[in-house]
Amino acid sequence: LTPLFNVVLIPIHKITKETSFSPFFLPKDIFSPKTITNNMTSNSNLSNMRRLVEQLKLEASVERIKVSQAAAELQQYCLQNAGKDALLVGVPTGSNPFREPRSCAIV
Amino acid sequence: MACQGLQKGETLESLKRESETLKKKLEEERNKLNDVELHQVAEKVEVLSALSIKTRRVLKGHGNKVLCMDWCKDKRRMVSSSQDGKVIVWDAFTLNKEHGVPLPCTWVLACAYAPLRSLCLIMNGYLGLDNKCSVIPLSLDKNENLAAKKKSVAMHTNYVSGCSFTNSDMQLLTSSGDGTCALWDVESGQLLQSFHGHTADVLSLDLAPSETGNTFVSGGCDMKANVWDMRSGQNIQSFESHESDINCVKYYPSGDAFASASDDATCRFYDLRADREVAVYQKDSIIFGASTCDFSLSGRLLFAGYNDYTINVWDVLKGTRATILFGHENRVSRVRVSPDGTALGSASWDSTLRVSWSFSTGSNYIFRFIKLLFWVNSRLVLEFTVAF
Repeated sequence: LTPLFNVVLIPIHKITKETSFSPFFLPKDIFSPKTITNNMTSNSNLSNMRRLVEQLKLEASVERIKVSQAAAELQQYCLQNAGKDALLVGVPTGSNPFREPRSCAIV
Repeated sequence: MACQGLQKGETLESLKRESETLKKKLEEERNKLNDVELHQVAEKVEVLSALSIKTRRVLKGHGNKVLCMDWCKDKRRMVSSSQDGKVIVWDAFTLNKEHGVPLPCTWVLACAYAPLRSLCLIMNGYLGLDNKCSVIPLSLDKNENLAAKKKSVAMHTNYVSGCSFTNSDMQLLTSSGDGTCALWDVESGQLLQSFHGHTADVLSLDLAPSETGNTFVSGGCDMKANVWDMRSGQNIQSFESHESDINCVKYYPSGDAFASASDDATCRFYDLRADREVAVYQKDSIIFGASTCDFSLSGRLLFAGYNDYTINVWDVLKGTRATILFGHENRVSRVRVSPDGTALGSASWDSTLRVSWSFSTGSNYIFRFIKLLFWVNSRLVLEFTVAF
């Protein structure tokens, strides 16, 4: 089924004020409901809940470190690599960064 | 109501209550370790000097919205896909178009270069009707019918929103609108592992950067960002603090944290070892959603493309905006930093791609100083000749 023109048929219930302005829609706006519809039986609801509880238990048992320590390490990584970051320090004025390098640049 | 499989005393109600208490406990555990904010730790760090990142090249050639772009590992080539059905490989140095692959579909949602093979791209299926992810090996022979060499690898029950080759290049990881992510073997097309846990469309995924790493993060319309173990298929960590769809997730270069861009007009930064959100990048003046984000090489800068046609550059450590890049005339669909960190590529619905980089102001002063010396020298010569 190939649309002859780049026209997408939009289900009526999805046409809102926003859709009338934007001429182009992302797949997430058109193709599927935002939540996975659960057309399963109540038994599966139970197993879903059980799975959720197991998942939460797993997440609660994760080993964590203090934010101060994590932040300090993130900062250290940034500062260590700041010299190599060409978007931060820049390339020599007027040069094209995609040219093959002829010699090492001393910063 | 059938009650098979119930353990002693267990009911739906008791499970619900247990899940609520577990959620509260999780929050408490995370808050216990929240002793300081990231920007407080970064107070002693020098404020960024004025960035001179500007658009230096504009790549024109697509006939319609550019939906996706990516850099090649040779740091010089870029591949981009557009709604007009073409995938173009660009040379960022010469601005030449090396290949133009017309594809028999009008929606290539994601494309990426294989890390090890020099030229290979993956494309996505047709508007909801294909739901497949295919691999096309590109060759230098322009006469070859590349579309015929397309090989379908992944198959989902809804649109494929993102894809990525794994480090070994033999496997493909995809995320889909059906709420799952999947790992496929490229040669055989076999499903190796599937990842269930999202309750809505998964919009984006990113692989952990380290060579030995086997985790990835995914973000979706259920406002959650989940971290997965690739081998076991287990959801290791989950973060739910966004207020709307998460459009893009990207790992920090060290692999210990990741950022997410969302329709709620914020980007958030999550640390994996502290297991919590450590920064929010937002401004009252920014009201449009962010559709894409990427880190600079050192991780100090976070580039985020927004639906108000701008790219905001955030100082990751201090939480402030470092600069803002204008130029695009429609939504920014993708920003990607080149593999060696020298330039930023951005793709937009205005059918152009822009490459931006920064010139160091230091050498500017040297040029100006030398020019001044020559000028002074010439003036002195003039004075003396006039005097005599």
